[in-house]
Amino acid sequence: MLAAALLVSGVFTAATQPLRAASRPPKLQYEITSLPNGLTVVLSEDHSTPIVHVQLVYHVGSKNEKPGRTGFAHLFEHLMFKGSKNVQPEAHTSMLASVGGQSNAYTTDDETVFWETVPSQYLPLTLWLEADRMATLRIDKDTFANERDVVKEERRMRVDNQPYGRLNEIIYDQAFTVHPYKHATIGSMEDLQAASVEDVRDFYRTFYVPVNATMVIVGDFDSAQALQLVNTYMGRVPKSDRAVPRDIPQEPPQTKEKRVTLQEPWPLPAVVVGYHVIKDGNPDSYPLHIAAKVLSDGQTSRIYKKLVYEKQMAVAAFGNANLIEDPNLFYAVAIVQPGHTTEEVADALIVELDRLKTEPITDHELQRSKNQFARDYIMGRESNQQKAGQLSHAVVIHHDIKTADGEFEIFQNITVADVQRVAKTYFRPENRLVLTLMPSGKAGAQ
Amino acid sequence: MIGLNISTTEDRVDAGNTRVWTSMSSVSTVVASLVTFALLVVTASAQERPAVGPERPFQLAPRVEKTLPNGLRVIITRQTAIPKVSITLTVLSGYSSDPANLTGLASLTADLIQEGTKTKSSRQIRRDVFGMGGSLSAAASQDYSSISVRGLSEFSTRLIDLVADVAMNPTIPEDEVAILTQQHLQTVSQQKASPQFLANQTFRKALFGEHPYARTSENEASLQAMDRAKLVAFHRDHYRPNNAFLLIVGAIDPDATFATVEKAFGGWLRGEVASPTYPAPPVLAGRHVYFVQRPNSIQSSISVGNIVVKRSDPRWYELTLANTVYGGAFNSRIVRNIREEKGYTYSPQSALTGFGNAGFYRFAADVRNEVTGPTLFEVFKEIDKMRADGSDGTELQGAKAYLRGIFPIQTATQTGLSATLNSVYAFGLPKDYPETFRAKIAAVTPEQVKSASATLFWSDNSVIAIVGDWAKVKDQLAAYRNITFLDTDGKTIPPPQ
Repeated sequence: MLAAALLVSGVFTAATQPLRAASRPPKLQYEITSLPNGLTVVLSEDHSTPIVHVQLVYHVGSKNEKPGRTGFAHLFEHLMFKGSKNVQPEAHTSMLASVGGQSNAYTTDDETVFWETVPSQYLPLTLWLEADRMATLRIDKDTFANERDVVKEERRMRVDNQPYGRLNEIIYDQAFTVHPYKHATIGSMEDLQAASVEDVRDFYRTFYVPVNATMVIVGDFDSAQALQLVNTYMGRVPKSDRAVPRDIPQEPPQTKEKRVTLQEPWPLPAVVVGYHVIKDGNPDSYPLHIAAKVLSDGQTSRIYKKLVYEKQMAVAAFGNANLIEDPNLFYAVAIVQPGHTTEEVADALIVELDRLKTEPITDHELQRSKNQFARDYIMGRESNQQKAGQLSHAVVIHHDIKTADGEFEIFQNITVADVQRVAKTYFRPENRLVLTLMPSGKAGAQ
Repeated sequence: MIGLNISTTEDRVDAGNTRVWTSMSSVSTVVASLVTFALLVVTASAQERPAVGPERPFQLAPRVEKTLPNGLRVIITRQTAIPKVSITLTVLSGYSSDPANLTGLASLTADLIQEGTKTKSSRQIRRDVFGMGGSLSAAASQDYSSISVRGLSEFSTRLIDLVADVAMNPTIPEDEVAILTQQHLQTVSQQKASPQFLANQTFRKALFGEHPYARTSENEASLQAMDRAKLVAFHRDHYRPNNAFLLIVGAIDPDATFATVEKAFGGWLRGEVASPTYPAPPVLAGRHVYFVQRPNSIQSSISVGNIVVKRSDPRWYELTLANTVYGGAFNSRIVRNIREEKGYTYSPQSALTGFGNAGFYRFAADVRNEVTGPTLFEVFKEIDKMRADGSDGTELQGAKAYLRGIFPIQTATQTGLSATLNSVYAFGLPKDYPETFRAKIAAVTPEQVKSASATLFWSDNSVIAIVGDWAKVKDQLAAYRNITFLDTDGKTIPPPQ
């Protein structure tokens, strides 16, 4: 073992050197165009494996839902698998699976995303299937009712029957007053039950139209041929005759601190400290991402180190800068270790967030965060699906495809002063939510 | 890792999305009176299902393998798609090497070796790895423990050195042992609140009994019995080069990387490593229900299954196909039945899992209380159909195409390729497994699938684990006479009132 110890001593010396910045990773290569019917199309070739990923993003999510219909965008996503003029119910998925492809979909606050990864030679089939359901969806009442049951089970499994499963739902319900981010994407059981086939028709005609959609194709194809195929299949979907509504109620600024204590049937108390922040893509959003990394990315991050490791007052602690299309939240959560009070944990979280205002982060922390960003940047562009996700996000949320690559430079140019400035801008007491969740006595399910 | 899990979750690195909900669907033949929402009819030429071009060749990047004089096998694949490297050191000792009263020893050892080496503190290790835009983790599973580092390939030499340092020179500091033991105790207490965790734990204990594959997590008693000396001894007795292999996949030069590996790991000393013992699992007789009483549960978390052959068994291909047809894919029989036609559940899963000494089959789903009994009825109905008839024709062709098609998707990323290669070396699969998998799937016959169905599903001799509220479901389980009741601590209790 002596020889080994001598060898690694060289490593130790290297580790004490100042941190070196990661190199600029290669940029994504792509083409962007739009069809006469309004569909935006992005193509990016990658010939390393004979597969193609197709991602079709509709710019509609749970924040487009009307009161009384929460959960509808996600329920509608499920219905898109229930058949169209030339495709039997569920045949979309089974046709693709039986040729060696995968397909699925997901819904967020801002988007509904349908995707397929298939052997390259099945790109035409995939486009044909997407075009058919964009143009000619068919839903009967029984199918609708059955799929609504499936979504209810999804809510029960992920939310209602899980310890801490309702945490996010509670945070957002308390933090927002009028913006639809107030409600969770899964929606409420009552609203799911109230949804009807008539709602399906209206939602489809309003949001599932070419001008509200972006198709990104990444993988093993020839761009000129792929564009021809997209024209052949997607180009046939008619243009919409109505404008896509964007009348989402905006949240008024919070003017005084909000402190709330609630009871939930969870094993240990939880404390949340949150602040309203700006939307994704705003210049302030980038230093806020860095602040989130300093506070909570990995076990050297401040919140973990202080609350879990040093003071051992929390079983788990983490933070999140939820920077999405409309202004959202920057929040930190701690699950309280028995023997400690929720007040001390809330105070400790606030102290850690306030420290970002009163003292600059260290150069090492800044460089580490930038290198972590470089890691996320590279590892978030490994699979075709990930690349498509970056490209579609840039187009749909930022309205500028160049941000898919340009954000790398923005991050690498952030200074410690930028981080301190945004902390001062947003981490103000009057902009704060402090939420305490106490166990209601019986642990486990409700 | 081996089984096909049909539920999907978000895999986006984008920190912005914390609330993502997925769809998941499969075949349904229900055609009723349809309401059409067609915006306009798509023209005739676009309605025809498009023709398919020729299949394009699929080839994995070549691997190079060398064994160091101390016995460490080193496998390197150059994959240059992105400037990243994935390094996995796998030590062939896991939960199965835990002494019976020290369940969790391998797991806690894997956690502790990251917490300090002869030349670096816990904090320095983290600073180093995060500073290089990397991540470090170490974890134990049934048959092995792995140290994994992912990072930017420009730092690959230092990342390899780091893996070597953690594997060879951990100090396992006393204070870190205390902190991590405390954290593990908290985890154990939190796990008891998770119905899916309890269902899996109960299922595995019932299935494997005293066999080490019964172990899914530590417990309070075993954690309290741990101390630094036991962890140091586990590391000393198991973390040996002749009991390990090193996988490196990334944008690296293989020759230079071998040189780095030789320098970093060359001084690691061989040692005698004891093999785990595998007591025979219990003989399953009848359909035995293990019911975990969780008052106020709003769903029943159900697991059904039995023991199957080990991962390296040559029948693995036909077993995988039988599972795919039954429940291992979106368009499989049980998913179609209980999700798409009946709406009982969002999350049916059917998985074949293989370890070094044995494997198991497990169906799992979370269903609303009222359909607990009907779900079991459908699960066994479909199982019995598979046992009686197997599968052939377009259904089997589709399942084969699915498995052949997703293999290139799964191995297209470094993480996916590393996982596949890890199975090859951990379970002693043929070296050409990744290159021949697709052809071997294609060659399976309907007769083989039928015979595999009898191996895969035991039907009349099955373990059934249910986590739920007995009062709400007991009437539906009247047909089951052999029921053992347990509390969330795993203790046997009288039938709940």
